[in-house]
Amino acid sequence: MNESFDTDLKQALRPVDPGEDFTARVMARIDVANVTPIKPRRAAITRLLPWAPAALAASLLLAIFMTHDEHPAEDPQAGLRAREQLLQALRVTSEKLDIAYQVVHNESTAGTDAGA
Amino acid sequence: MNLRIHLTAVLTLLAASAFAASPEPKLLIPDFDALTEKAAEAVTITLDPALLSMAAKFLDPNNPEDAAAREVLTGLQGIYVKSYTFESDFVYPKAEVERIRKQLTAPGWSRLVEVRSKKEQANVDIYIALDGNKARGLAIIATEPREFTIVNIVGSVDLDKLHKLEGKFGVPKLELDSSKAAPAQK
Repeated sequence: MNESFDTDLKQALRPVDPGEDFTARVMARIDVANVTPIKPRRAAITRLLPWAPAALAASLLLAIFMTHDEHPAEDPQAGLRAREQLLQALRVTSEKLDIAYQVVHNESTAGTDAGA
Repeated sequence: MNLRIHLTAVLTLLAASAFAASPEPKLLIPDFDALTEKAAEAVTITLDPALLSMAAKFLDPNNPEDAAAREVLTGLQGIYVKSYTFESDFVYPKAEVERIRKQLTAPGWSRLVEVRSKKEQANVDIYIALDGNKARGLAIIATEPREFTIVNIVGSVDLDKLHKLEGKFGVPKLELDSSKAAPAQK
């Protein structure tokens, strides 16, 4: 019983040569017109949020732009130079205001004296 | 179609009038490269909003001069100074000075103080850019035979704060009495 089953199984699973025209036969059975191309699978996030990559790129660009500082505050030399320039600018401004004040004040005093 | 054209024209006019009403507080100051070569001393200070902000971070609150500067800085968007000292009289181009002065005849700019000192031959004009009642800029043009200075402060200039600089930067009490203020020459 067992020997017979074993023989039948070997017979059924014996290697069979498909023949030289095997490839040609398979190709002939494929209906080229009805074959639909397989779309590459997109990542789940891009299927759910198609704008996500663009938003991510924009965020990255914005972050780079915002963190890029023309005058980095971390540079103490530049900061001290800016401070010195500010103080000098205010000194020049105050000096010119002083000239105007002196003249206005002198004329005001002279007018008061003349009126007295 | 006609309605659209009319609407566009009205909006353009409104935009133009709004633009004309608010003065440009930042002056177009020439480079004066030639002057720099002639000058015995040249000072050019350009403090844009970023540099002003940086300078503010380096001010020492314990130093009276720095503390006063910090007070003045609030609301300012820029300080631009060009000052030249020469070894001979009137070497600076008066035409350039007039070109700057011409910018200050634009609507919104008013001459606050005009000083003509015959003795010292010193002229100082102080202009203020007003947007309604709000000061948006200050300009000082000071000329002496051997000196030429332009100061342009952009932003909400608070004259009271400038007033408080007295004794810290040599700024006196600027008595901006209405009788001393000369109206802008238009």
